[in-house]
Amino acid sequence: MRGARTDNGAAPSAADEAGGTPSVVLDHLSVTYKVQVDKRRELRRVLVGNQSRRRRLRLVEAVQDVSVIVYPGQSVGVIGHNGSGKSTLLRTIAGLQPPTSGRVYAASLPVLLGVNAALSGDVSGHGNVYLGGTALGFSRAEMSERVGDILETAGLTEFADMPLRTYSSGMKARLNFAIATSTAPDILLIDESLGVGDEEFREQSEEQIQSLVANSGTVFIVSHKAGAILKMCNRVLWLDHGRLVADGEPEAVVSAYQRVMRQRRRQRRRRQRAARNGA
Amino acid sequence: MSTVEAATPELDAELVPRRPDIPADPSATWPSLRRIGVRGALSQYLKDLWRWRNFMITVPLNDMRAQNQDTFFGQLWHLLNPLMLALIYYVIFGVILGISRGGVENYPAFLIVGVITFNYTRTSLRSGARIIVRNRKLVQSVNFPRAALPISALLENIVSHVIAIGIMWLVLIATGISPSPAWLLVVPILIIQSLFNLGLAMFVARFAFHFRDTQQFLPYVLRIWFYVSGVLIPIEARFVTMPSARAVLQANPIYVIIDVSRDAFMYGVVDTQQLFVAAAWAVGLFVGGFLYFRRAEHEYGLV
Repeated sequence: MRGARTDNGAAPSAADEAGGTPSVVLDHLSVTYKVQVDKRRELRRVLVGNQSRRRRLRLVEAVQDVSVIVYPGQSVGVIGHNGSGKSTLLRTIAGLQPPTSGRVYAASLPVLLGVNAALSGDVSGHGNVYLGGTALGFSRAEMSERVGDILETAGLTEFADMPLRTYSSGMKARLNFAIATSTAPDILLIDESLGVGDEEFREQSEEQIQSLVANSGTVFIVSHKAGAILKMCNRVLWLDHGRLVADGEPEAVVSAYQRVMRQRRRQRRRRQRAARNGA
Repeated sequence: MSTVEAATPELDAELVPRRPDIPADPSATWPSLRRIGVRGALSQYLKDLWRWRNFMITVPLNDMRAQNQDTFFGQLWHLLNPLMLALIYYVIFGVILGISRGGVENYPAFLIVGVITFNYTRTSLRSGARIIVRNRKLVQSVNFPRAALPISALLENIVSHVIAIGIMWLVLIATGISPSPAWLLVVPILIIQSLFNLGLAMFVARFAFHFRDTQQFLPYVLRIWFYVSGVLIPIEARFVTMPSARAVLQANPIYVIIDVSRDAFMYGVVDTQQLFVAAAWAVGLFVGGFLYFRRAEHEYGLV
């Protein structure tokens, strides 16, 4: 199972590694959404009484009892079908959403690669570097030192004065990534955002992630792309309907995942055919 | 979701995750670890807010710059709005209904101080009610002390209010009032009202997060509040004859702030007692609103 995984300089089998101080600890983590079918919580319903409200609640167990210890230097891929709880897991690790039960511990505040939400379309790329950087808790002075580098890394120096709304989605993704990584977070959480952008950006971002991991940072990557996971991760978690079903070597987990997904597709097709024939 | 799909896939034993041994208190075993997603100490929260101070300034700066780019009038309307309102009220209440004949001297001055003071609280409350929903994406993707949002909205409102005060003074001078040393009270009054507004904004921000209807009914609450705050008509024995009703109306904190402002700017009088009442309201509301807002700190990501 231990293939030649040294091309990115990471430890070959990080999942087996124990000892040392972990960077992220998930202790029996569960996240349950109370989804109101009617979504909004209206004052009327509270005044009228709880009964009508309770009937409209649906529980979605997005993450169920996940316990994992992650160490510095691990880049952890998270795979799973749509709705398996990957993004919820990431947001919970980032502290953006409270766990229903269980606990999350981290050596530093994990940063979700999503600073683009802080950016404003009417503001120039240059101004947005300040906006994004200060949203991550840095001072304007600290950002002044970096703004040139960030725009350079993002390849946007010549567009620095143009408002963000004129940028292409790839350019926005590059800016987002450059701002988030410029702050050198120890724990970086990436949710499906590497798919955007061109080949050059992809290579560049992969390099940056690898250097972060090499400097004993920790990265979580949620992706559907097996290629990206295999290339950048040295450990893979597989979530299935909110439960952690596999944890280990990227090749082994990814190939098992692909095998099971193929099986399920076949079964589904068979059931559909049977249903059609039966009808 | 069929049972077949939900079944745990069969895997090689070495892929099946082993339950790691997690100590009862991980941060005791590994001191560098801190717990994520729970409310920490208040002092830490204040420290975090201080760390995010640049963010609170950058957001309104960019907003104002962006508004300036669009239209010249875009920015100006913030100021024209209260002025137009004051003018309309003057025509209706001053000229047509003849309040000034009833004994309110210098009604235009009386009106402009009331309208501009009330308007500051109104805009703060309204932006507070919108703040979480408006920043939904941000709150879902970036971790920062959420109180930074209402604070930065308030900073933006302060700027337009300060400009409005300047215009108010011009109107006062135009009506024949000459500036007096009591005008220096503008600073404590501004601080008091800003604290008051911030407390209210944080309170309504969380309330509106739980009950989205708030944004719908808030305008009516504000309208009623406007009418009972003595903006248009003085709360005096001549106009409000019932003593108990008068006492209730005069206890209204916005009225207190408006009253102190009128004393200072129109008559050059420093009403220390009323100033203390206003300050007590402001501090109480600010502390209460802040604590109330923070209690839901980690839920705002669920909008």
